[in-house]
Amino acid sequence: MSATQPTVATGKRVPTGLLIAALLLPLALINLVSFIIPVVRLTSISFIQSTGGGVLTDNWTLENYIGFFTDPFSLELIWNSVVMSLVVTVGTLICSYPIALFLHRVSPRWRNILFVMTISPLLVSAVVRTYGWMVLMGDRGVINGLLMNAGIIDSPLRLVNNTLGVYIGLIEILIPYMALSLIAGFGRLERSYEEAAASLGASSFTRFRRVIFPLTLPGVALGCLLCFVLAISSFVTPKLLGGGRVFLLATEIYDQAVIQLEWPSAAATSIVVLVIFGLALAVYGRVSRRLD
Amino acid sequence: MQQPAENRQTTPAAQPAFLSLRGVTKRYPNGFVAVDDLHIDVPKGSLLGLLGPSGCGKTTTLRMVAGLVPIEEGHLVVDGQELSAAPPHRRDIGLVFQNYALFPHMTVGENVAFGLEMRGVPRSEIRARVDEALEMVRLPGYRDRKPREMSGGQQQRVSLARALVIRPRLLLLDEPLSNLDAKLRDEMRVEIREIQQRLGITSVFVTHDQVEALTMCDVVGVMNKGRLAQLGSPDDIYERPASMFVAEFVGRINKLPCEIVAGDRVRLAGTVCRSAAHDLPEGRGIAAIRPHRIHLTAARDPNLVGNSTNAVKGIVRTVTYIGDIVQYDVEIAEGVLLKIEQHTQGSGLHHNTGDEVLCEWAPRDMLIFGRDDA
Amino acid sequence: MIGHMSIPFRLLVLALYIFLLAPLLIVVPLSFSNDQFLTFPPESWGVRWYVAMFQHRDFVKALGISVTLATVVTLISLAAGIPAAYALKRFEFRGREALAALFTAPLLLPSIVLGLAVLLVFVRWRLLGTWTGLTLAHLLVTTPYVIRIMMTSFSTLPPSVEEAATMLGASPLTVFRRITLPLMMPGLVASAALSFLMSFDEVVISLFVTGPRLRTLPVEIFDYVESRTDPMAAAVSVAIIAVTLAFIIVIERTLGLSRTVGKSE
Repeated sequence: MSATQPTVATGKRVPTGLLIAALLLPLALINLVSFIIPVVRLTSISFIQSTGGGVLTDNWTLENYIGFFTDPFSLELIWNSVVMSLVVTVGTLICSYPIALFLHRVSPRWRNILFVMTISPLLVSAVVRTYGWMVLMGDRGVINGLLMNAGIIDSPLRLVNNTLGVYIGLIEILIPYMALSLIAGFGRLERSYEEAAASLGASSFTRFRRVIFPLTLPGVALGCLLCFVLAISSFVTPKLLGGGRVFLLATEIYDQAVIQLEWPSAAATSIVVLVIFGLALAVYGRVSRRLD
Repeated sequence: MQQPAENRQTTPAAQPAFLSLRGVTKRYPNGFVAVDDLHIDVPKGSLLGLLGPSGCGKTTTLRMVAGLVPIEEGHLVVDGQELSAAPPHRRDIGLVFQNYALFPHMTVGENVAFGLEMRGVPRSEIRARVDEALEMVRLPGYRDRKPREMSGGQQQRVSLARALVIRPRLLLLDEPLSNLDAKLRDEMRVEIREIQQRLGITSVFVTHDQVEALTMCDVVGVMNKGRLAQLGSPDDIYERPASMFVAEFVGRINKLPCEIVAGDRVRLAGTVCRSAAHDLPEGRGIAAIRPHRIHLTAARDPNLVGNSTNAVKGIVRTVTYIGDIVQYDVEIAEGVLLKIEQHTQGSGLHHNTGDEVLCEWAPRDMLIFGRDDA
Repeated sequence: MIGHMSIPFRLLVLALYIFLLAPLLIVVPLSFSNDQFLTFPPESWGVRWYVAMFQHRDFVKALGISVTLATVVTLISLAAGIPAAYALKRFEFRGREALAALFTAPLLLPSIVLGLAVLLVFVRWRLLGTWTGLTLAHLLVTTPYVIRIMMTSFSTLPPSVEEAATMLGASPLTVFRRITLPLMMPGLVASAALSFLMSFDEVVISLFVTGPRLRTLPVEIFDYVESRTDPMAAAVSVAIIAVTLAFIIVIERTLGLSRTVGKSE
């Protein structure tokens, strides 16, 4: 442009690329140090030979995985964990579905407060909630106390320090997650569908089976995925309610890492858990595609 | 949509340019050219309409004028000042957004006062000027409302007041009527134009609606794929479109394949017709005729029609009664349909399906374009 | 009537709510037991264990550590998370989606695996049992939430509002101070409250990185309830539930719990 033309002062324009980098840098560093490097290290250490007691060698090996898959105990751990997670998932679904359906149908005035009540437990520490179950189900806890005072039983029921306690505790802890997923999936459920089904002569049970339930399946699938992966990796509840008598993958990772200091084995077990995660995700992907 | 002629006297070149785009181009790193070598001059006090389909580059052009998209190629000169490199907050340009973009956490008064505050205008003066601006957009007494308590049309008026209260050198309007319902849109169209003319503020109005462009603007730039397809007065754009694209974009039009015979003669559905064009190269072309410029009468011998009019025989295939007009589809040759619109007068329907009719139109109403242009 | 809920259905839902809230509600009466051991019904009532809680040096120290840690972690999460969320929502650049996925990825991995992974690296860097180590480990848990909430918050704030302020003559700094900041306040408060709560509640990863001299409150309780069954843990639980409740109210009042915690955005 010709120099004779007056020009309005140019502001300093920071190059956009530099600005973006500066905005992202702090979080990227945190993510690198506390996420990427640890996960990479976890993966690599699962292939490193150890001489026991936390002493690592420089040798690469598949021993940790071979050891894991040839040990009947670890195979039992996988079986235990998968069965427990499936049972807990189904149990959570059965308990959460009525809650979600109720929240979907209740008047808006009540919905909000009930919704907060449903998901608030999510924000209370798992330790505290598990402790609540120990109080309820312990040998001298609330349930046994009530039953014995009423003369229904003579000696306390064994509700904790076994798998039953872990099942009950986990189902309760996972209900909010399942309920959230279900409610998100209930968005497609409009009253007019039910009315249409009713006008065509469907009874209330048929309406549920043929109209409501199929429409809410995407939410069910998502909730099941979420609960399965949370159950299979749960640690606090099995540890406390299992009383050291329930052996699962997650408790094994902790014992190997913190008590036995067998880091490569713990890392290999962790990778196995992640693979199960991946499989669950793949199953979910196939199911949800079929549902669409 | 004919406008009184006196508004149409200003041709872009006749007056010195107040806003001038010179070779403005926007290239994206991936090679996409959103705006391609745009040259536009707008005289002081004029309203320029940028018209085009979505993705044609009209909004990018507006945002480059505003400074929200940096100008890397070409120049923007406003009132003799080179503005290409100025940051947006120093350009003194008012911008009205499609979604109003009112500050939701401020009252109407605070919204309108914001620009004055930024300019360090004294408090007492701010109050007076905010009231004056709200008065102008017919919203006196709304100063303490929150934007969300107002209707879309009211919000857009506040947005207009907020942009104008700083007395900007330019007013930019980015599809300001798109979010409003049809009735309100008509009202606001008149209102914006009225305020713009009263203040004599040079403005740019981006729209995809040809009615808005034709009724409101002094100059219309039709854009297509980043380029300026035509720049001219509304009747230029409508009556003398530079291309088939422009002709189609500004209103309904019949597109018929024809054979160019010589001079201004074309052969259409077996009949030789005269067109508005001269010195056409022989070969195939496209004839374009607006449906409402065709006159429909009961069939009679075409030879009885005067030489000054084109006449083609046809059979009515469908009739659609709309109210103020009737639409006919008339088959003038095997598989060639002509769309025709006739004003309803008196009795309403004039012709029925299956009637033989004669379609007549003046040569000046028939535009001829090359095939590749279609 | 369609959508009508029968009495048995309502009773079922009531029973399920009791089941869901029982472990939280039951600790309240039991925390007022004066017995030596946890028994039901308690033989004597009183505030003995609340007094004991405040005299228990490990709990008091751990509470101080947890509050300090949660505060520091919250401040860093916001300072790092908000600019990143802004960049991810406001600019177009290559790898944007991938970065957003990476920043929220820790949410998808089980804490037990993350805890082990962090342990394996921090043991080499001598960060176990240090403030730095604990802070970094907790940031891993809190930053994904901040990113998610703030990205949602920025996407409900249309860029045109900021552009409008710019066109009216506001410099970038003024735009941020007068427009962006006030409008992102609800998201900011919700992120802060959730960060604090997540850090304050975190136990699994903490179990891996705490040291004998630097233990958080949940870790302390975890060890305590694993070995003993006196009602002091009930008193501590009630205290924690009360704090959590206060934060839930803050979140509900600002952004709404459903939008903050909900997986669907």
